[in-house]
Amino acid sequence: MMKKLTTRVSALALAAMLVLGTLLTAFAASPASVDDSASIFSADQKSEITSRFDRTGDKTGWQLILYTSTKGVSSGLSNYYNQNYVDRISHDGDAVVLVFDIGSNKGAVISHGSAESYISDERLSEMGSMLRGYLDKKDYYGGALAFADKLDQFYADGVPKDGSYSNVKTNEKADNKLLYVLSHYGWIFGIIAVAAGVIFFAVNSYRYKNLGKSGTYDLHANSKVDLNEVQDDFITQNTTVRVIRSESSGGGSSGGDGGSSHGGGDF
Amino acid sequence: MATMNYKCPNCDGPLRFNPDKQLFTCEYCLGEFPAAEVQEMNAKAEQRETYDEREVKQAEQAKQEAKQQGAEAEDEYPVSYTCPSCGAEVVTTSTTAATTCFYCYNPVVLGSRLSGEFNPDRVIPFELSKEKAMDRFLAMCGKKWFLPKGFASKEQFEKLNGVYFPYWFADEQKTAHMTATGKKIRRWTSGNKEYTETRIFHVVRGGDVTINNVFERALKNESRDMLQSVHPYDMTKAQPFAMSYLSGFQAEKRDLDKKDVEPVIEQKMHQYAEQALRDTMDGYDEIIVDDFVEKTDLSAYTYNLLPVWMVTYKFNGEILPFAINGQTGKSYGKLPVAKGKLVAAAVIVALLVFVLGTLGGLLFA
Repeated sequence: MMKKLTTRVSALALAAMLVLGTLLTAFAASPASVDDSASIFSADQKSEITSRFDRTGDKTGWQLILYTSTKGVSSGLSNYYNQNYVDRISHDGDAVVLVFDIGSNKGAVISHGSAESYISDERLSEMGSMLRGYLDKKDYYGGALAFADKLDQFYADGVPKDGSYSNVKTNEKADNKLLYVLSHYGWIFGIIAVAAGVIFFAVNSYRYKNLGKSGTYDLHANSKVDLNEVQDDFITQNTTVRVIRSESSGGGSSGGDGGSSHGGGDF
Repeated sequence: MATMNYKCPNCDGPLRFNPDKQLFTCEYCLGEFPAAEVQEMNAKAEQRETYDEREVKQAEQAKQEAKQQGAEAEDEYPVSYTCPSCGAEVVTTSTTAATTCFYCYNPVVLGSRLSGEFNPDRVIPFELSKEKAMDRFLAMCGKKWFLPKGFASKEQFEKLNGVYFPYWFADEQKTAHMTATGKKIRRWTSGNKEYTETRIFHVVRGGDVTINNVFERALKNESRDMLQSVHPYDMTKAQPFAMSYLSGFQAEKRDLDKKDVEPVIEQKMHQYAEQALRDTMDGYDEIIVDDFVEKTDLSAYTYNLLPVWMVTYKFNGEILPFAINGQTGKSYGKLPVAKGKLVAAAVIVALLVFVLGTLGGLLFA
């Protein structure tokens, strides 16, 4: 009986792990591409950029994507294009996306997978400054090639030893919510779960050992009060006031932060 | 008083009290007799004191005197009687007032245990038969998931014994007076401000408080927890004591005097009186009692025998008592726990909590 029960519990635990594991799926691979929605490149330029990106891709194992847009997004480009473009295309796990928003003349670099570790905050800033120069000159073609050169350099230099990755962390939960929740709050849920189990065990043990101990005397049914003196004299009153803090004063509005996890920054 | 067994006027077979019918029944001729009839038939016999019993009484008195003079003596010691049915020797403890002869299985009531100062005032006759008590117990076990397999079986509780246990009950009328500070609190919100208005009152209550049926066990060697926890009983159904009710059951004589239980009962009475008066201060959100005084005007203690079905069972080397109120069926006891089952259930609960927490996290992340 005990063995059966243990087997059932183990099977249940295994099933739960499998369900959780299935949700933790990874990306699949695909080649470099240029998606020129803003129509700023000639066919030759697109071909040149693609072959240049492929060379970097062969070296690094990353998929390089160039996307041009006329949306005119002026802030939060990396999040916006991660949700509205990168997540809609089928991209590899290891990828770097360069976005040129012609409408706002701004750009963004979005990294995924292993590329994220090579593009630290410092390197992203360096890349952004460099690309900003090309944007200012409206030299999108030159910017795309320089982007590939810079990635080659970052790859050759390896993963920075003391790099910071705030750009990656801010969007971690968007990549795989379950992984994010488990990695950040799993230990809390674990403690709560263990506490719940222990409380369940203790409460049931106590109830079994103390069956029928309560409710032995009913005062209401066994007492009678005949009052001959009743006074309820008002003495004083006071009123206190508490200011309720407005919830909206705490911060800005929270927009949707969906989409996959990525490293990224605007320029 | 005599060592009694109550006999059927038709066939001379032993009479036992039947809780289901609230009648005395003869298991040989199936005759049924009301309690009053049996009491009347045996009234004279109950008054007769046999030679056997006189001897036992004298031995007990000698023991008491020796104890008073400082001699070492056990509170409980074996006492032997002669069974009025078969003549066999019935060995009981010094507090046993009714039992069954181990040879002929006829009920024996040891009258001297319940005479004089030990004569109970009231008795609540068994209302729950052994079968019904067992059914109640097994139904209760059916709802307990973590009992060891095979525990909740009729065989386990075949040895259920009907026992009348002795209790002291007290009724008191008191004059009581309480002063308190009462608070009425009102909250409301206007704009971004929350207002809390507290009105303070001087509250006085005085009057007569009657508290009834405060009880305390009158047998020191039995588990106090068990004897206290089988309550409550419906004392309105208590009958004036008659020895015949004990026929077919075991009964225990009290070994705690009124003075032994008085401090505990008086403490309870004080608490209950305070609570009863406090409960009349309704309409307040908070009450702080500033002063409470009470004086007892009337006090009455009675000695009662109350019915309990009880059994002890052995589990993992530990002997555990189990008791069922012989009137209401309320159960008390230490139930054994199948730790494996409970651990497995606790693991499942923990897993569920973890999964629910994670799902909640996914919703709010």
